Amino acid sequence: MFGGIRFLKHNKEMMLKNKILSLEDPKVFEVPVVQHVGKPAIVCVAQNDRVLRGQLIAKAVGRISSNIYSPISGKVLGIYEKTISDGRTCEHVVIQNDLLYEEVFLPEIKQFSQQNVLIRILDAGIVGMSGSGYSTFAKLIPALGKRIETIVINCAECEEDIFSDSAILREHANQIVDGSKYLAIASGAKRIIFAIQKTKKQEISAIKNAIETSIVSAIRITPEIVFISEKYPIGAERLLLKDILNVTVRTGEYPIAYGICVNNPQTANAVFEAVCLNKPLFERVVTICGTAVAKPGIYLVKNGVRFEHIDEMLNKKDKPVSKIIINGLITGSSQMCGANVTTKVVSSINFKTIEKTRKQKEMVCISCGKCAEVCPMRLVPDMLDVAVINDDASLCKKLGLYECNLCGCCSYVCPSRRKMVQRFSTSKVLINERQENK
Amino acid sequence: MINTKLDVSFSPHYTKSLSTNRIMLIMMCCLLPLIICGVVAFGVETLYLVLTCVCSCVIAEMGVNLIQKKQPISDLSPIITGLVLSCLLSPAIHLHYAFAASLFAIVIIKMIFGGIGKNIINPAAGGMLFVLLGFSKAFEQGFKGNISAKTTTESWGALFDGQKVKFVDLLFNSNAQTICSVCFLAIVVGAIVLICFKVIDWKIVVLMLASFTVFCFAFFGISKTPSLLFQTEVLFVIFFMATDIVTSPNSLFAKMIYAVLIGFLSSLFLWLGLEIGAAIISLILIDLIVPILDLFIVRIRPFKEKA
Repeated sequence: MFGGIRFLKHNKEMMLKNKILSLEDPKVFEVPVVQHVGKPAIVCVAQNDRVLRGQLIAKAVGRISSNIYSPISGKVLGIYEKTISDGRTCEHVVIQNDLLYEEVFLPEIKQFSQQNVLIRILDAGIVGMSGSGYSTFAKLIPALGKRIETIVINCAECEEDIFSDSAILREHANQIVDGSKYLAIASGAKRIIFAIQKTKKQEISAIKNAIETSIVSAIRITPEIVFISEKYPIGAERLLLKDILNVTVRTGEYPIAYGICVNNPQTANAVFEAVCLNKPLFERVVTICGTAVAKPGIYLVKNGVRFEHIDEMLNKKDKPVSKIIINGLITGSSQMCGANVTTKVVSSINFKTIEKTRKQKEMVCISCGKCAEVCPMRLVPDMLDVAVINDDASLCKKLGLYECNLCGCCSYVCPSRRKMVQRFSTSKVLINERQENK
Repeated sequence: MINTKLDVSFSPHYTKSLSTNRIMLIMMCCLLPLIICGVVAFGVETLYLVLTCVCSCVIAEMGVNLIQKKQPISDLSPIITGLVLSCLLSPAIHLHYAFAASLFAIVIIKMIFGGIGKNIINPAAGGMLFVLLGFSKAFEQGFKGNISAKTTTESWGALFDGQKVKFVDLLFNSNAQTICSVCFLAIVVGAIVLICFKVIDWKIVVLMLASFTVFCFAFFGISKTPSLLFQTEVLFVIFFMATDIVTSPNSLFAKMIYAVLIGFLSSLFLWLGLEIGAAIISLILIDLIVPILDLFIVRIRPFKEKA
């Protein structure tokens, strides 16, 4: 990979901490019907209904939507509109926890054929759990005339402050390897690749063990392990594929055009749970850290838990939280209120105290060229920045605004604290909108 | 407990600690040993020169910013310009020349082009050239350092031959006319600190040194090269001025061309008989073609859309 940044991982102990801890459940769950890209699911329960853990509460509509399942058994208190973690508003199914934990899971699969596994992935509401939230079912069904040859399990997890995938790899490597095989069955792929950094030794040995012991009768593929660079943002799909398979997925194309499907280890784990344990997707592993957290660690968190509740359970009482950042410090988003809830795509939560949040003033660009050195897409961010500020759509296109994958390396290294990636992401949307309106 | 009003900001929420002002502060600290050496070698006149340059640079910047109704001082850059400029001048110079040079450097070369980050040539180099061309008399009043008896290369040569040499002779250069040529060790120490803090790129510095040495070999032969490297302002220009992040090119390939050209031109000007300012003039000439280098050396973008 060209460019990129090498972080000094501050939470080194957490990377090696072995246990996935469990979090005490709150009394009330608020499950949003939007936990994915695509249309909101349609609520199929009513107020005062009793739902069980693993019961369908909202049904997918459209091609890339996904089913939503109840994480808990209890009474539906109501259905309210509320904001979700990405700032949109949607309906939330509010369920009171009756502490009985009665379950109703999906029916067992009798034969692991391609069709059955695919339908199970659709039914279980599995979406890309790296943070994209794109329906895995839609990903596995390529357009006509295309075939998926390779499944890549992307274990890179190169962002600062996210360690969930590493933890689940250490603990459930056999489930993930089996899950990747079911993904291969569903897509008809002939090759499975695990892409992982060489420094993650425990994870690598766990995967190796799992590969040796894994037996899935319906398919005979031995997954391969490929080592990748340790720099951020190697986890970005296009950069990863360029590195491991030397496939250049150009702007405007998708890996599916080259017969590749990239998945997250947690997605593979969810596939295994859905296919073998008949468990739909309603919980995930989340890294909880930050200066305000007394017990940072990797927790199994159900969907629909308020950030406030997590804060109450884990944080120091004397340290008020002044900033909540989800999904990593470099590309994640800060939250407007603590009443937002966890979803399928929230992979890390960082609670910051007042001392650690400081405002940085934007200074004049001194054209040092540091941004161009680190840009993995080989753009020249400082020139692009001028084009974006001047609102010059044609120059933006010429300098490659649409190639930018918004990794944030330029803003991370900029000594003048230019908010470049911020402007790029907004103007990408704005210029597109303007062209559509014409 | 979560505050009722949370801070909201756009990603990235975490940035590298090296900020523009910190870069400038490190640069200032790295220039200090050289100035102390200057004070030791030339006396208090050096301090007057440094103070004049720094103060007039700061005042000039404040003045222009006030006329434009901007914040008077937003960073430490005028102080650095003043320090670098004073290093390029001789302590024997009349202080009004130093004042004029600072004014020219800040007002004409920097602020008229749009302030920090927009200047095309290095302000300190421009100020020095202004005095050199406009008031060439200013440089005629020679001023010998009063500590050392020998030039740097003579004393180091003697050390390598196995003779006993005074420590002071090793440090100071008796031939020095300007602060920047008085002690090459101070420059090297400063440069090493800059490289350690990743303010300057060692690859470019090494390339520049190599190119200068090679071309000096070609023009002068092996015997004269060390004295040219260690007794003129070349070393100072290479470490502190050519690596200036504003005026050097952005991409690595362009930086390499820039480095080789500077080495070549400075040795060429020395060979043509320019005693003072060979490196400065070559730096200014190359700075002028940097925008062209930046424009024409375009990167190959692997993820470009298909035409």
